[in-house]
Amino acid sequence: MRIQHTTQNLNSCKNISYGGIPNARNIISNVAQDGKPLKGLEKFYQSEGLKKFLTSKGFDKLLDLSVKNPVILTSVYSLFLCTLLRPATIMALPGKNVDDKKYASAHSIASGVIGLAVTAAILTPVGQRVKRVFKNPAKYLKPETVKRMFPNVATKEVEKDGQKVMEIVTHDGKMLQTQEFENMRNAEIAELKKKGIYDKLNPLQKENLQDREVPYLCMSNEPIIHNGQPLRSAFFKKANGEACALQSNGTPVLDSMKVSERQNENAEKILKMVPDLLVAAPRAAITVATIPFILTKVFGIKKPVKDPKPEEIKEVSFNSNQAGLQSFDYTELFPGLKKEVQ
Amino acid sequence: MNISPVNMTNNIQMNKETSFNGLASAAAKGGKVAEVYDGLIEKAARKMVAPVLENSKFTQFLEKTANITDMPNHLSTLGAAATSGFYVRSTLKNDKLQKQERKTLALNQALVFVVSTLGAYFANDKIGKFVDNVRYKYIEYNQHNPKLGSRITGFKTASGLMVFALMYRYISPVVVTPIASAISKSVREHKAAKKAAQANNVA
Repeated sequence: MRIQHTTQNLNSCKNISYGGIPNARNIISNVAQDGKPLKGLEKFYQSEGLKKFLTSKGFDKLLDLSVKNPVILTSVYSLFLCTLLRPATIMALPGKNVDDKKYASAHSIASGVIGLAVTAAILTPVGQRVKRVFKNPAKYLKPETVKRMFPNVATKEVEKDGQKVMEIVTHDGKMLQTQEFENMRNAEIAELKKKGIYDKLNPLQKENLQDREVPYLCMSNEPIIHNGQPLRSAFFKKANGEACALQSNGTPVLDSMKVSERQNENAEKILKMVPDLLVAAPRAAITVATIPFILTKVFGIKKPVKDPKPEEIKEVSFNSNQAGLQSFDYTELFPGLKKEVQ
Repeated sequence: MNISPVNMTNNIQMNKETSFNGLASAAAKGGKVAEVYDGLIEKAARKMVAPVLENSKFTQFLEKTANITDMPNHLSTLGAAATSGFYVRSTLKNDKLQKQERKTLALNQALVFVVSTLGAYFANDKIGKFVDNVRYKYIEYNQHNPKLGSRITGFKTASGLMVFALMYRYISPVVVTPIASAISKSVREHKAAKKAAQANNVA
């Protein structure tokens, strides 16, 4: 009887992963305590405007970009901040020296444009190559590393040149035993009881839990394939982003898999974002070098001829700092700045 | 007794289309340039990404940081630290400024970074509940979307990165820097006045 239930429920999980289940929404709001609307914002959460925004293609693209290449997302967003919002605010703020404001704005525009250009040129390929390794780890990594990163990958020992070595094997999804699956279900119910959530569920939801109809809206990540065969199953995720109880093959997700999944997510983020740190200093240098060009092209300030006295340079440097220039001495690149300002 | 697989075939098909055929067709469409580019990406994946993932120290680091769920925010902070570090270094090396002025300006810049970072973490923490709520509404409206799983993961990353970028790229230079400059200017003037008064007393 139990197996029958299990089979039915696995089929439910199949549906859940791609199409959702009819009562998933209600269950989510009960199970996920964090989902309760904040006080005073109930109307906002129900508003048509928010619905339109959340169902727009643009918002979906933004979320996709944040997964695929977070550095590009930051750069595009920074481009908006640095080329529009920040210069507009700086120019609108009260202040005596209009030219200082122009320099601050030029710095802002330069940092936004150079930031996106460097990211697009250098960091997009970085994101692509990281993605390639994570999509097909067995092609690029040693079997031991693949096993460590994905504990649900099956391995076997084979003899090569008289030595025993690990080899990755693809599988048909039969990896974990029913007993483990049962234990997982009981542990989940116990946890819901401990958190006081179980008592708040309606009888149907409790029945679903007992019958192992997955009480979550589950979504799958993409599975990992090697030579056209499954290397490991896909993970399902709960509405709060945590790993769900089942893999796409219906077997449970164990703690070791959850930990390695988090480690893999962090590794992917680090590999995609750390190169951005490495180019931070050269990017800042290029940004500063671009400022004179922007001053000329955008604000119409022409390059001055005469070198200023040292004390005059110093004064401009402090003024620039007050206007939001992060105190960089622009006179280094723009000799004669003071004279031009006057 | 084993549990039989349920939708493995679908998954394999989906993965094939998205990861392998997609790349191959892109390379075919783009001709030689795309082929060369693809080769470079392939080489970089083997020579640069794989060795890092195989590295034991990197593995140890990942094990120690497994419980960190907001890694992109910390990486944003490191990025801002690197940029601020560049400006601090430039200021300290600026021989057109007096030694004391260099120190004051550099300290000013470092403090701006610290205050902005604290502000970013504080703001991110404060809007966390709001973002969670919006995320649940997103799930409600997009239940039948096959990409929902991945997009939910992107929700937290996107909101964190946007808060940090807003702080470092807008609030820090427009609000924090001028305040810090005003404070350091006032300290400088106070010190100068004190020195002048002492000089007068000695005279």
